[in-house]
Order: sequence, then structure tokens, then C-alpha cells
Amino acid sequence: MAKGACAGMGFAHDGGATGTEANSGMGNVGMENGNTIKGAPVDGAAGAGDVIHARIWALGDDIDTDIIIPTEYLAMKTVEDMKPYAFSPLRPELAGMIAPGDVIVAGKNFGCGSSREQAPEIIKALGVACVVAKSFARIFFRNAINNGLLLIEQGDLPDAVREGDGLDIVVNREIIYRGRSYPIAPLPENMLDIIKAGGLVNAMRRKNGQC
Amino acid sequence: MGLTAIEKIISNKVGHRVHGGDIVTVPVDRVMIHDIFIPFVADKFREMGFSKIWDPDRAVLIYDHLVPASQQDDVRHFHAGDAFAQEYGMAHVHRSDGICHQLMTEAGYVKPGDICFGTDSHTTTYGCVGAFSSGVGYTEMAAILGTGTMWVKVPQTIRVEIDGKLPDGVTAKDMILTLIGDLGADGATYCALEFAGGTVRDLSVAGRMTMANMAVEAGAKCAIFSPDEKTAAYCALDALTAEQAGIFGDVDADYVRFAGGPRPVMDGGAGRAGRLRRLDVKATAGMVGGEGGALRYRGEDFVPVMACPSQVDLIRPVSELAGLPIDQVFIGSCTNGRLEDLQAAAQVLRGGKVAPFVKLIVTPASVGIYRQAIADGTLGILSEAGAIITNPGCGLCCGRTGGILSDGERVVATNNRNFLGRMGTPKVEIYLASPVTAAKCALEGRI
Repeated sequence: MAKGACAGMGFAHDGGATGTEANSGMGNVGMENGNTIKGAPVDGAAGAGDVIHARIWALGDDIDTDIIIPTEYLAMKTVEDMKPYAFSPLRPELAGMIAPGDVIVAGKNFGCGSSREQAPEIIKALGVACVVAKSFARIFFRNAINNGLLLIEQGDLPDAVREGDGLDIVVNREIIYRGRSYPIAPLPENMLDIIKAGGLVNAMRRKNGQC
Repeated sequence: MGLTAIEKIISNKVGHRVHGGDIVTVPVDRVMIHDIFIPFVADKFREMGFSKIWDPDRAVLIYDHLVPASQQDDVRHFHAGDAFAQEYGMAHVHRSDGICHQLMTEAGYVKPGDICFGTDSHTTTYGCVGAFSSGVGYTEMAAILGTGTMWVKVPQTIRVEIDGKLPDGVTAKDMILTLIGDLGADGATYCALEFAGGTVRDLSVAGRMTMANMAVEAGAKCAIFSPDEKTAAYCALDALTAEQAGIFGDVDADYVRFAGGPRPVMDGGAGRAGRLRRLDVKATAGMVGGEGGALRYRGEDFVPVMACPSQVDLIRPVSELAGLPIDQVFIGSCTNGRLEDLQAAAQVLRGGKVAPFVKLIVTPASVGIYRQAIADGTLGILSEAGAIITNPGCGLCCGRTGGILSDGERVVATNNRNFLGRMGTPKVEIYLASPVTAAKCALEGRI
């Protein structure tokens, strides 16, 4: 994020593809109540009780930071330049298929490996609304939250999902998939504020009235 | 279900019971920033738009990695630090007093039950006095300086119980190296390492520091020793408060479970074949504290060990490595640069001479230790034996000051990392060991 800028979650540069468009034909279930957000959780989205409708990309265990972005691409100038190569060692086609507002559902130890902050930044730049996994590697977890990427730990859902299906995330409450509810541990409000602001630096700038 | 020691510290601070995996925002008692990161912390702090430090008295700035400067650019860090400290009213600035992790407890900045963060991975050290302390990056440090709070995921705890008497010549360093070998360099990732048992109670605070310091080499977020009368004396407290005395792991807390216990290193433990395997299941009530609830060691089973090049978890008994010629020995660092470490080395070297062609470099961890070691004759003995005694600081451990090595050379060192290239070129072989083992190697000129 450019110094001095105070943008939200950084989807504005994604060519204007909104989550609603990206998710058309995905058969999302409409929600009766709550603040319903389709697709990309644009600025102000991830408040407790808000609902994110999303399409699932399913990945396995131990998705490491070299899979998320191989070292050879780290020297590129911007995260935007690196974006097409996300997940390329595992599924070279994936980065081109992920649409803003989609979610990644993965197994255990997501983000293991190096401390490169580009890993969560790239996932965020792809427009991924949230990563749901059985567990996250420690440094990735901190880097993701501090860069404004929502992460949810859920032990059972990853074994149940099928790629391409839709799901509903009620932030801080539950995930609804095929009519079944999967409970999620709440994140404190001030952490949601960090995610909403687009990361720690922006959250602090906001707090200090800098934007 | 009971609580682990770390869960108790965090629960006390946030005012409700927390368990491993919970995410909470904690108030911070003390932060430490060192010379390497202060320019970046300062930049981020200003970028975030803060105009003051939440409580300047709780922030400590320590120059240690770059003191005295060995490269022209190093000086910039001192000027950036001094300017930041002056602008925001930080009084606790140590410019040449020793290593940050030594000073934080030695100078009384950390007390039992405190929550501390530092811009260095070895911030785990302050668990030696029963504090929760962990390393953070410079962006997070800037946010803490502005707010006095930080979010944490409460770590799960691996409980390590050690009972029995250590054999002669075996130290805290040998215990923690053995444990790292058993767990692997990532075996305790995101976890707290909670140490308990008679052997641990018998350790001095200095020995506990050595173990807490290296917890991060097994990937741990923090380490914790229950505060006791030794802790109180070290921290200059008349007595522990009820809350501080209550910082211990309950037997029915939810500990990380393992498939089987450790094997003695002489029996093939601490190697890849003997590595411990964590079970991916939560303990259930009634089962905890039983088999798998704690890693149990017998003090008598420990032997002098070394971490071999270039992995900190490649642990072998010294007896298996005996005979390898060496070029240099380094005794110092935040792991093993304390008075009792220097005394242990002096006891080995008393009346003897360092082997020809071997350089023995001794770096006390702080000015206080340096003066004590002069006063009690320790440095005199080491000097008589041929040691090169340097100024207190990080010294050779971070490969920036006198004593760097070159291709094909072998060093026995008491610090915490033997990564490729850490103490010179990538073709230097670094063996990590206790001060006792290191001093013996210096005498012999070989392992």
C-alpha cells in the first residue's frame, strides 16, 4: 500500500470486477437478515454478523509459502505483477480462475514455510474474501491479519467441501455449507477492525485520524 | 479443566479465562527494541500517525548487535535511535551496556507475570522469570508503541518435566539442545514450552535463561518457568505476589500430546529417527497429564551434546564427535554469556593454556557481568589461559564483529544458532555447545 494512501481492502485495482458479477451463476443462497455482502468484502465488510456468499476453491494440507508464491517471482516489482503466479507449483491455472469474492478452503498448516509477507498480500490481491483452513502456520497467520486478509480456522469444513460449491460465512458466527452449520471462533472486534482497514498500518492511521 | 502457565498469565491480564487457540488483545507491560530494527520501527510509527508512545517508561531501547560499529552504515542506527528516543521521551536507552536479552531481566525491566514483546526472536528469554514474552516484527512493534496493546493467539503448551540430577559437566545448554533435537526445529511451532520438575527447580535463573532463550530454535512462541524464590531474588522482589506464585501449569490443563516419550540421546533420541511426533488430538478430561500429557526426562540421562553444522536440531553426543580439530571457540551471547557460564569455563581452563592455533573469544553478556567477572578473578583466569576477552554485546554470535571465520574452519560456540554463514562464510562449520564443553575443546584444540 502506498505510503500516505488509506484505501480499504485493496480491491479497487482489480479491474472493477465485483463479487456479484464474479459470482453470477454460482447459485448463492440469499440471506434473510444481517448485512448481506455478495462476493468481495469491500471496505467495511467484515463486521461481526455480516454474511459473505462465496465460491469455494479447495486445497489440501501444508500449502506452503513457496506454493503460494515461489521465490523466483518475489523479486517482481509489485504484488500485482506476482499475482498470476500464485499457487503455480501446485495448480498453475488457479490464479487465473479465482475471482474476487471467492474463498479458499484448505487443510492443516496453511501458509507454512517462510515469513514472506507477499504470501497473504497476493491472496488478498486475487480478491479472495477469506481463507478457511483447519489450521494456519504462525507467521502467515500474523502476516495475513496484519495485511488485512480474513482467516478462519474450522476443523471439519475442509473435509466436507467440494470445489465450486458455494458457502455462506456469517462473520464471527458460523459457516453454512449445504444446509449444515459449522461454528467458528470469533475474532475480537478490534482485530476485525484491522482487517476492515486493510491491515495494521492503515488501522493505526485511521485510529490517529490520518484518513 | 485447568490452565497452563501461559494461559494463566494471559487470563490474569485480560480478566477472563483463556485457552490455547483463543485470540485476545493483551495489555503490554514492557517492550524491547534493539539497534538493528529501531530505524524501521521509527518509520512505521510515524507512518501510522502516532504522536506519542503510550507509556515511554515501558519501552526500552538497546544497542547491542552493532556495538561498537564495525561498518559505516551501523552508525545510522544509533542516530535514528537517539533521535526517536529524544523525540518521544524514552529514558531507558542502553548504548553500550550489553545484550538486550540479558539487560531486560538484569536491569529489572521484566517481572514474573508480565507480558513483553521485543523486536528479536530470542525475546523468549524472559520466560526464565515467569513472564510471557515473544518476538514481533517492526510493524507490530510500532503499533504496540502507539497503543500499548497487541493481539495474540494464546499458544498451546508443550509441557516438559525433568526430574533427577544432571551428571557432572552437563548443563542447561545440553538439556535444551537435546530437547530441540527431540522436537525438531519446527516441533514447537506456535507453542509455549513449559518447563517443570526437580531438575528445573534446581537450575539457577541463568540456566533457565539459557533454556528459554533457545526455545525459539524449536519454533516456540515463548517459554515459561514458574517463578519461585530464586526468581524473586533475581528480580529484586521481597516476595512473589499470590498471582505471581500461581503461575504454574495445572496437571489437568490441556497440553499438546505426543505419540510416546523421548528416548535418551545415547539411545538414538534427539536424531531424526528418534524425533517426537505430535498427536493432532485434543486431550480429553481425565486423560490429561497421563501418557503423552508431558514430555518426561530423567536428569541422569542427559549427556554433553552439540548441535552439528548447520542445523540447530542435528544433535549428537560430544563423545561421538570427539577428535575433530577446531580453529576457534566462542563463549558468550544471550544464550551463554552469563557469570556462571564464564565461571564454568574458567574452572576448566584454570592453570591451563588454550591449544596452539586456537582462538578463544570470550564475550560477557553485559557490563555488569564483565565487572563481576573481573572482581571475582574469572576474567583473569581466562586471560591467563590465553582467551581474547571482548566488550559486552552480541559480538561474534551475529557474525558482525571480531572473530569471523573463513572457508573450511571449524568453531565450537556457545550461542544459539549455527545457520550457514552466521559467523563468517557459508563453509564455516559451527558446532553449538555448553560453556563447559567449549572450554574443554579450547584446551584440547579438538572436540
